[in-house]
Amino acid sequence: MLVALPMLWAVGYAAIYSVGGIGYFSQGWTFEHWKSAIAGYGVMQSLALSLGIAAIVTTIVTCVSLGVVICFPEWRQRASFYCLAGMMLATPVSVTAFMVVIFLGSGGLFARLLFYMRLIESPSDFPELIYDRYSIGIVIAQSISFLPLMLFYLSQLWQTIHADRLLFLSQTLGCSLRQAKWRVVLPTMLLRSRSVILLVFLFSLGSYEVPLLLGRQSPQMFSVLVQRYANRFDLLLKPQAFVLATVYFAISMGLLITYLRWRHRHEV
Amino acid sequence: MKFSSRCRSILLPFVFALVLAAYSYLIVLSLGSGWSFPSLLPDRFDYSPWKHFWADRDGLRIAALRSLGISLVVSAISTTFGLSAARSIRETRSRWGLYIAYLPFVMSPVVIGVCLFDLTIRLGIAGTVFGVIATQSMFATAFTTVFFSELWSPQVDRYEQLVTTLGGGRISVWCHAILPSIRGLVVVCVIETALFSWLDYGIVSIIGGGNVKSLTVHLFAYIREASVNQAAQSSLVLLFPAMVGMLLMIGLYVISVGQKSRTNSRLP
Repeated sequence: MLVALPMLWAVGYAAIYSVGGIGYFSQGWTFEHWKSAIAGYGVMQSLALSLGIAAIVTTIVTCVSLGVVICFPEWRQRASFYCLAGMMLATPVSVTAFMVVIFLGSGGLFARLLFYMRLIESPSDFPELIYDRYSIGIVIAQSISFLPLMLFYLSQLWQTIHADRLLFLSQTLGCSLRQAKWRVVLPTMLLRSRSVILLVFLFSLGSYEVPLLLGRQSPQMFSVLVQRYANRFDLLLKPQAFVLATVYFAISMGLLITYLRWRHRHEV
Repeated sequence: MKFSSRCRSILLPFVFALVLAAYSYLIVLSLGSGWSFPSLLPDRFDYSPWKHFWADRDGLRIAALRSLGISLVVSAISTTFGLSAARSIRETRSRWGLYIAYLPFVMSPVVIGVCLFDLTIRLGIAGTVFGVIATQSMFATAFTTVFFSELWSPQVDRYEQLVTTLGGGRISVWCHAILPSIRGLVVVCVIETALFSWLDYGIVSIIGGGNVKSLTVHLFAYIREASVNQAAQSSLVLLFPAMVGMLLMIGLYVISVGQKSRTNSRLP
C-alpha cells in the first residue's frame, strides 16, 4: 500500500493532467497538449537526448565491464578490485558529477596540467567536455557511476556460469584462449546479463543529478525537463511536463515488463 | 610476453592509485580557499571550508544532522515494511506485487516526485520533513521489498514451518525463525536505505520545496555558486558515511563468507 497507492496516483495523475482532466487552467478533456508537445522542440528533443544518452552510457558500461572481467579474470580474486569497485559504488552521483567538473571542466585540473605542458594557453582552449553540445560530461559521469554495479554483477556471473570451466572445455575442443574468451564466454555472459544491462539503461534514463549539474539548458534530459516545466511560472506549460512524464512512465513500465520476463526466463 | 604480464600486474594498483588520488584531491581542495587558474592547489591553505562547517555559519552542521535523522527514520520504516511486503510477495508468488515494487526502484524519483507534489500539498505535508520522509520511504520500501524478495532463502521458509509445527505463534516465527536467519540482510538493507536517503537530492528539493535543507541541497548550492572549496568539503561530508557503510557491508560479506567456509569444512 505504501508503494502501490502513491505509484497509482503518480501515473494516473500524470496521464489525466496531460489530457486536461485536471489542472487549474484546464478547459476540459483535450489532446492539444500532446499535439503541441509532439510538434514542439523541447519534448521531442528531450526524448531523443535521454534515450540516446542512456543507450550510449549502457553500451560503454557493458563494453568496459565485460572487457575488464574477461581480459582480467584474475582481478576477481584481488581485494583491491572489490575495494575499488566498492569505493566507486559508494560515491554519490552528485559527488561524481562534481569531480567531473573539477577534473574535466574548462578551468579544471586537466586543463591546468595541459597549461603547464604548454599545450593550451587559456581555459578557453580546452575542449568543451561539460555543459557541451554532445553531453560528453553527462556520459562520462553516468558511466563512472554505473560501472561498479556492472563490474560486481559480471564478477559474480563469471562464477555462476562457471566461465573457467567453459574456457577449459572450449580449449580442450580446440579453441585458442582468445577464441574461447570472445566466442564462447562473451556471448554467454552477454545473454545472461541482458536483464541487468536493461536495468542500467533504465537507471540512466531516469537520472537527474548528473544532467542537472553537467547538462545544457536545452535540450535537457527527461527528469530535468519535467521538473523545469512543472515549476515554471507559466502554468499553461505545466501539462507538457505531464505529457513528458506519461511518455517516461510508458517507456519505463514497458521495459520493466521485459526485464522481469528475461529474469524469469533465467530463473526457469 | 614478460612486459605484458608485468603491465597486467601493475594495471590494477595503478587504477586504484589513480582513483585514490582523485579522492585525495577533493581533500586538498577542501583545505583551502580559492582555486584560480592555473594553480593546481588552493590559493590559501586556511581550512576555511572546515571552519565554516564547524562554526555552522551556513547551517551545514544542522543540515548534516537533519539528513542523518531523516535517513535513520526512512531506513527504519522501509526495512520494517519492506520485510513484511517481501514476505507476502514470496508467499503469494504475486508477479504484480513484484512488478509494483520494481516500479519506483527503476523510475526516476524526480519524475514521480513531481507527480506526487500535488498529493503532498493536499495532504499538507509539502515542504515539511514529514513529507520528505514519507516520499523517500516509498522509494526505500520499494527497494527493500525487491531486495528481500530477491534474496529470500527457502531455508527461512523451512525454519518458519519448523517453528509453526512445534507450536510457535506469529511472534515466535519472527523471533526464532525469520530474524535470526536474515540478520545480515537486514543490516545491509538498513545501511543501503539510510544511504539512499542520505544521498538523495531530487525528492528533498521537490517535496521539501526549499524548506527542508539537507546536506545534498547545500552541496548543489555550492556547486552552482562555483564555490569549489566549499563544494569539495560538502562532498567529503557526504562521502564519509557512504564509504563507512560500504566498508561495513564488505566486512559483513567477508565474515559471512568466512562462516560459510568454516561450516563447510566441518561437514563430513
